[in-house]
Amino acid sequence: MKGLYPFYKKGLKAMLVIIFWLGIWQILHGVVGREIYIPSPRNVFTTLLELVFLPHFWKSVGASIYRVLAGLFLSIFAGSFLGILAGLNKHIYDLIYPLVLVIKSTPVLSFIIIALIWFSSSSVPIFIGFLMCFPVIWTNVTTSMHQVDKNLLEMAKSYGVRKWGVYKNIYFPSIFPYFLAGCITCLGLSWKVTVAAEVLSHPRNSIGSNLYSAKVYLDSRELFAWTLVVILLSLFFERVFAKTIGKLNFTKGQGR
Amino acid sequence: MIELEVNVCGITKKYDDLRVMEDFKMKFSYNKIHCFLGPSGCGKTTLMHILGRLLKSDEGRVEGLDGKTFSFVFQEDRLMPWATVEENIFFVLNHLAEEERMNRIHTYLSLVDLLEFKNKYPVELSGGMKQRASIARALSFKGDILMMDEPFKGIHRELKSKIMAHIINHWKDQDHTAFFISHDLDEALALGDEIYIFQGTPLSLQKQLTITMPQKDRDVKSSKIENIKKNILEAI
Repeated sequence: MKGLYPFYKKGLKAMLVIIFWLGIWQILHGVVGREIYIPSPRNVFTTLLELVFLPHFWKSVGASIYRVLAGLFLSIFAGSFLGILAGLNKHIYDLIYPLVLVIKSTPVLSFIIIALIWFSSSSVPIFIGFLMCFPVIWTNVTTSMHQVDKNLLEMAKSYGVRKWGVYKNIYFPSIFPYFLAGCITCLGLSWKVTVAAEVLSHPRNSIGSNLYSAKVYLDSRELFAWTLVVILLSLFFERVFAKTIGKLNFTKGQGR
Repeated sequence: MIELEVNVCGITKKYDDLRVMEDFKMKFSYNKIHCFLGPSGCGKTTLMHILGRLLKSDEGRVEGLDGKTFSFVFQEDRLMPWATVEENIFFVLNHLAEEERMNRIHTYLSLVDLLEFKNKYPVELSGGMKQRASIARALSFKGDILMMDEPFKGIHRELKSKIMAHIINHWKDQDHTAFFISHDLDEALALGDEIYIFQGTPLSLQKQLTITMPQKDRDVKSSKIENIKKNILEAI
């Protein structure tokens, strides 16, 4: 039992923090006094509970999860691949860098509007998710490639280690922590921009479309409930991802 | 034709405006331990790295080392922090069969008293232990040429003598060539067949001493070695 004590303590603390912020929310609701501006936590949770039993809710959640993950994986794949190439070759870096700079500096809304012209409403959020996450992954991978310990590369060269051995044992473990940090940042970012793109592109099943409808009908309870769904999903995915990757433990024992 | 010596032909090497070597010429015989002494920053490490093909010279060339393999002990340990001691050595032995690799790892980690630490990561080792792992890596690779740049930093005297004895008994007896940079005169006198005193920059040879007495018979307190030591100290 003694070993479990810190867990109880940690859980209790987290619970108290949540209760504190729910209390603040309730107080704000009381002060403002209008459900349309700030609905009470109780009403929001009741609405959420009602939504959970609707098939449409799960269709929307499932479709949004698919879009978030599709955009994320595309950006991870393209960002890592081009990041490695740019890290290895200065000319490729010089070629891609302006593109990344443009993507970083352009307002996301401009991209959404352009994408609305180019793609179907269902594909726009995937494209936007990809576009916003790609520079983060690319920058992290390229920076880590540039920061690989030159002394280790020289050591490998002195012993005539083959290129694949150098990539596997020196480059990969050096890049991995940066890559991981990029992926975790992107997971949160991807939820934000994908849902924002859904709000504007209105795919049939999506959290964003539901947010938009709630806004149109001035249904603040549902607006808050769907927002809560996005926050919970984002946190859930971040936790699952971090735990899965943590178990892989790539950065240790890569010598063979 | 079998090459019998390493010929450094007119090497020039610059780092920005600093001329570390300028038209540098020298010859080194095979199957000897060549020991480089000289002040810090005079260009000894640059010379070693050019000999070991880690650096390219701006002008000139090195003859007699084509196709040779090198075992390097660097000034820093240069161990991969994400790999254990065993995996770090394994990394440079990839060309060998599994059994041979394991044998070598066992032999050389025993030599440097690190066998029980083979599963530790570099962060779990002291500076001296990391250096010993780096020495084990170099010796287990068994390159044609052994390159050592201040290899015994942070290693206590008894273990240093044990490793030196191994180099003398195994390395040199197999007609291998070694280059060795040190700031410790006693280390140079115990190991070197040829001792070079450099100055710079640019790198230039100030004095060269040949010790014909076999390493096994050397006693640093004997009058002959004392005389050589006096000679070197005068030159420095």
